[in-house]
Parts: sequence; C-alpha cells; structure tokens
Amino acid sequence: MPSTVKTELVEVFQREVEELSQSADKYSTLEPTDINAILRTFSLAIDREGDGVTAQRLLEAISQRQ
Amino acid sequence: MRLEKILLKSFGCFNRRDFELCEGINLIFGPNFSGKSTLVNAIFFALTGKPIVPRVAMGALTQGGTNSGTAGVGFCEQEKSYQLFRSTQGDVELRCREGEGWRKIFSGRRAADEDLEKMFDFTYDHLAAAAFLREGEIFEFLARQTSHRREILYTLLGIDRLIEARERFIEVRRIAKREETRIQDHQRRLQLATVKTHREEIARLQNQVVELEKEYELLSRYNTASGNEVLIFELTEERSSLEKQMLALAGERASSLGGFNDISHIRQSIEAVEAAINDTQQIEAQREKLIQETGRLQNQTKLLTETCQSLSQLLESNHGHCPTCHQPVHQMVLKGILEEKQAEKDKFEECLATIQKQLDTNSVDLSTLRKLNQRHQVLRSKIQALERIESQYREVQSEFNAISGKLRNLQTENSAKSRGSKTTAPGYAREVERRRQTKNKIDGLRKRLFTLNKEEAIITNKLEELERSAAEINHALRTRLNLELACDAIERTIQAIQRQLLQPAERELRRLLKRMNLFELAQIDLKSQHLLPSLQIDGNDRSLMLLSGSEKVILYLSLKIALSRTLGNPGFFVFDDPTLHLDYGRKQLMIEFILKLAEEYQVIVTSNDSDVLKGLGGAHLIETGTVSDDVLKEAATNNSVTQSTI
Repeated sequence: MPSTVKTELVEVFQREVEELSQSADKYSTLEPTDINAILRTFSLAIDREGDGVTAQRLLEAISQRQ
Repeated sequence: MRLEKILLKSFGCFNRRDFELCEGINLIFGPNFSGKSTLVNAIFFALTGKPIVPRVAMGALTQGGTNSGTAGVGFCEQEKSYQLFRSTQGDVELRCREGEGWRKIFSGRRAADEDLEKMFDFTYDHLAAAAFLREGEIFEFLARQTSHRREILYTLLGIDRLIEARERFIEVRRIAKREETRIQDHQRRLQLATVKTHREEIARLQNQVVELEKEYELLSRYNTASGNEVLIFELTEERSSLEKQMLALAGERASSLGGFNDISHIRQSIEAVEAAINDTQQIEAQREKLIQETGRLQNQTKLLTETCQSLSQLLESNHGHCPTCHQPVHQMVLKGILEEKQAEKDKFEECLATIQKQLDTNSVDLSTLRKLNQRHQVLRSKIQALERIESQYREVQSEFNAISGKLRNLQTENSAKSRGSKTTAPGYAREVERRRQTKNKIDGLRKRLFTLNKEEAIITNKLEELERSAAEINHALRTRLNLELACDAIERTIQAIQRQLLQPAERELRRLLKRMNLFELAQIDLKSQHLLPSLQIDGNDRSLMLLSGSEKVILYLSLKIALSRTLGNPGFFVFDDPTLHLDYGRKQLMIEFILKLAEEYQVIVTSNDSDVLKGLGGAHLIETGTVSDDVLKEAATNNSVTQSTI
C-alpha cells in the first residue's frame, strides 16, 4: 500500500473515531487516552509489517492507555 | 519518479541493449514484432518483478535459447539517480549513483519488493492499475468477474487492508470477551465464597481480653502484696503434680522391664539373642551344603545299585561271555567286581544315613530361629519404650529438682520475712483458682481471636482480590468498548474512503471524457460496479460491453488516469498502443490528450501508427525496427521529432 493511501486511511479512520466517540452515547465514557490507544493499534494492524503481529499483541496495544 | 533508461540483457527479442528515455513524451515506434511491447514489459518487470501480462511464466520473458534474462530501469527520484535490475531468476539489484560510479544499495531476493515499496512508494497493484496500459487490457478488464474487479478496487483504495484490520479487531474483541467472561466468573466465585467479616466480633473479643487482662493484673498485684505465700502454694502444688508424674513413670518403667533388672540387662539379652541368630544362620548354610551332598550321594548309590544288578544278572545267566561285546567273561572276576561295587555302595549308604541324621538335628535348630527373631523384636521394642520412659522421667525429675530448689529458697526467704503472719492454705487456693480461671478465660479468648484473625485475613485477602477483579473488569470492559469503536470506525472508514477517493476519480473521469467528446451527459458511478464505470445516459444504463472499441479504449485510459491522479502517480504513464481501434478523429483527440498529459507527467507510448508519429511532435523517438525514410522525413518536417538509439 503506498504511503499516500496509508496516510489517507489513518486520517479518515482518526476522523471517524473522533466523530463516533463524540456522537454515540455508547462511547461517551472513553477518554483521549483510549482514542490514542485505538489509533496506535489501528496503525499497527493495517501496516504490512503488522501482518506478523498476533491478536494478543493487538489486544495488549489497545489495552495500554498512555 | 522519472524514468531515464531501459537496460536489457537477453530479454525478449533483445540480446544486449540500452534505451535512453527523456522527460515529456517518449515514443517507441516500430512495426509489429519489433519489440515495442517488450520494452513496456521490461519497464514493468524491472519495477515490480512480475510480467505485465498476468499468468505468463518468467521463462517466456527471456531471449530464446537463454536461461535467464535481465531487465533494468534507470530512474531519477528526488534528484537522485538509481538503477534497478531484475533477472528472470528472481535476483534484484538496486544501485545509486555516487559521483561517477554506482553504489550497490542491495542485491538478492529477500524482501526486495518491500524495501522498494518503502523507498519509492510504488506497488505492483498501483502501477498495473494506474500507470501502465497494456495492449488488450481493456477487454480482459471488462470480462473480469465483479469479485475480481472489487478486489482490484479494494487493493487500490487500501480497503483490503481495512477489511483485514477489521477481521483482526473482531478476533481481538473475541479474545477480550473471553477474558472478560473469565474475570467475571472469577469475581462471581469470590463473591460466593466471601462471608461477612469478623471485624465486629474481633473488636468485641479484644475489649473483653483487655478487661480480663486488667483483672488478672489486679489479682497478680494482690498476690504479690500478700508475699510469696501464693507462689509457694503454687510451686508446692506443681511439685506434687510432678511427683505424681514421676511415680507414674516409675510404675510404667517397672512394668516395662517385666522380669529384667534394668535396660543393660535387656541389652545383654539382645546381644545373646543376636549371637544365637547368627549361629542358627550358619547352621542354615551348613544344611544347604548337606542337602547338596545328600543329592550327590543318592545319585551315586543309585548308579552303583544299577551296576550291581547288571553284574548279578550276568553272573546268574552263566553264558560265559558278555551279551554286549561277546567277549569271554570269567565268573570269578565278575564276583570280585560285584563285591567291590557292593562294598562301595554300602559305604555311600552309610554316609547318607549320617548326613540324614545331621539334617534332622539341623531342622530342629532352624525352628528355633523364628522364635529367636520374634524374641529379638520384642526386646528391641521393650528397650525403645524404656528409653522413652527414661527420657521423660529425667525431664520431669529435672523440673522437679528445679522447683524443689526454688521452693526451698522461697520458704527460707518467707520465713525470715513474715514470721507470725499466716494465711491459710484454702485462702491461697481460692486466689490461685480465681487467677487461673481468669487466665484460662484470657487464653480461650486469645485462641478464638487467633482463629477469627486468621479467617479475617483470608476474607480481607479475598476482598482485595475482589477489588482488583473489579478494576480488571472495568479495564476489560473499556478495552472491549475501544475495540467496538475501532470496528465501527473501520466500517465507516471503508465507506468514507470509497466516497472520498472514488468521487474525485469520478469527477476527473467525467472531465477527461468530456475533453474526448465522449459520454458528456453520462452519470458515472465507480463504486456500484466496482471500478467498472456505470454509465447512465438519460436515466438508462449503457452496457459497457456494447461500447465501440474506441469508446472502450478512451473510457479505460481515462479511468486509469483519473484513478492515478486520485491515488497518486509515480510520475509517469506507459501506454502500449493506445490508439488501437481509434479512427482518425479519435486518434487526433488521443494524441492531443497525451500531449496535454505530458505537460504534467512523463509519458511513454508505443505505436506503429504513422499518424501517431506525426501527431506527437517533439517526442523523443525510440525506434525498434526499420521505419521508412519517408515517414521519418514527414514526421521530422511536421513535428521536429527527436530521434534516439536507432
């Protein structure tokens, strides 16, 4: 995947996450740290280098709210 | 990226040849079978490692009769010149210009494409879909299954990665859910096991202990105030109790001795028994030998008996010769031998009788061995019991002596201190009894407190674990919520990306088609038919399969350029015979279109059409075959074509 497309995907995903977290009541309790964790994990999941990353590793990544 | 050179070795119809490329338009011109498409293929193969025509074996790319061919491209990226070579065997080498020479960046096979993708940001799918147009591609594309076109679309837009990511997030959510259930089960078990705490009861018992301890202290003070009498009384009682214990142990010891004088006497008996056992064991060994000897003697006696019988029969038969060997036999000699054997047999029988007697005696001795062993065991257990009693007795005696000494001292001290004042023994007994009762109560309460504290510690531990578990469940719930948000957001991203990337592509496509005077009034929808433009003209769908050849070519080329502009272009386009199927008017439009495109991008075009040669004025010409001088002259006159590597 060319970097332009990847950048586009990440930007759109970030926008969608932010929109959803603000508009849906279900996600209203989530904090900026949660959003950061989601974005970090998403980048890891769509990267070609992330193919070798296990589901457990993704779970850890999304659980680590820094 | 700007392509600078094509470098071939044993590739297609070329043995060893380099072709210079320029900025703007590069026209590869030549008749059929002159290698125009090979050059397009070489550029594509060098960049991606795959033939431009799918499902073509690598071996087909090499020059006939050779095992391996190499295609290379020289290109300029961010003002740096590179050369990328690929062999049909799969080897890759990338070089970078340094001064006058070339420095090797990497060579080999492993991970070359990933490295190239990272360095130059191009992929096979993007080049194939947006930068290259090969001959006949449009017809293959139209004939493709919808699912195949959808795959191409998804790859181009990165939606395949998004779908993969969504699948992975769903898998992660499943794991998170399992983890959540596990924590909830654990929490439930903890809640069931946890009973109410003992804190209140512990506090109440602790107060009681404090009260009783005060009372005990008061009683002790009173006792101290009344001198050492109470202590003397207590010690006297303890001494008498120890005396009783000593008497009981002495009685036990006497009964354990059971006829023996003392322990040493028993030890002597054990030694005697052990010696007897040893002797008897020797008798057993001897008996074994005798039995073996008996067997041997019995065999010999049996043999001699048989011999005697044979001799007697021979004597009685009186034949005068041996029945076996027929030799003459003298009766006297036979008699002598018989007597000799008979005497030998009698001797053996006598020995046998003696041994038998010895064996009988031994059997009697052996029956005593079992009895001796039993006796030995009884004596050992007796001595162990006596040793235990002796040890206990010594302990009690030493305590008794210590208390007796202490008592003597106290009595001496007390008689000197309070001569005359007397407290009766029953008075002391009441005080001591009360103090003992208080002490017992305190001990009982402390014991209960100890048990309760132990239980309380377990309960506290469980409560802490419950708290931890509650925190864990919150964390797990939050993680799952994050994952749900991620899945929802990916779903929306897929929609948004299609909208965001395809709509500009649709607009661009409409603009390009308008320029080519084609489908000006059509509504274009790339999403609904997965990259195949759905054309609605006056509200009616126009079947793409029924388009004319020129319409298809223009539409497809425009689609490629539109996608390329939306998704990002490496900086060049390569079109293999783009004017095929076009009439003169459309050809001119296409030429104009390429000229316009060349203002922004490097364009490499192959053709064998003299109209194209004439039309692409100022193009850098790469000639792959013999072109008639008239054609070249006309083209040069009209459009100032620059000629290269002819």
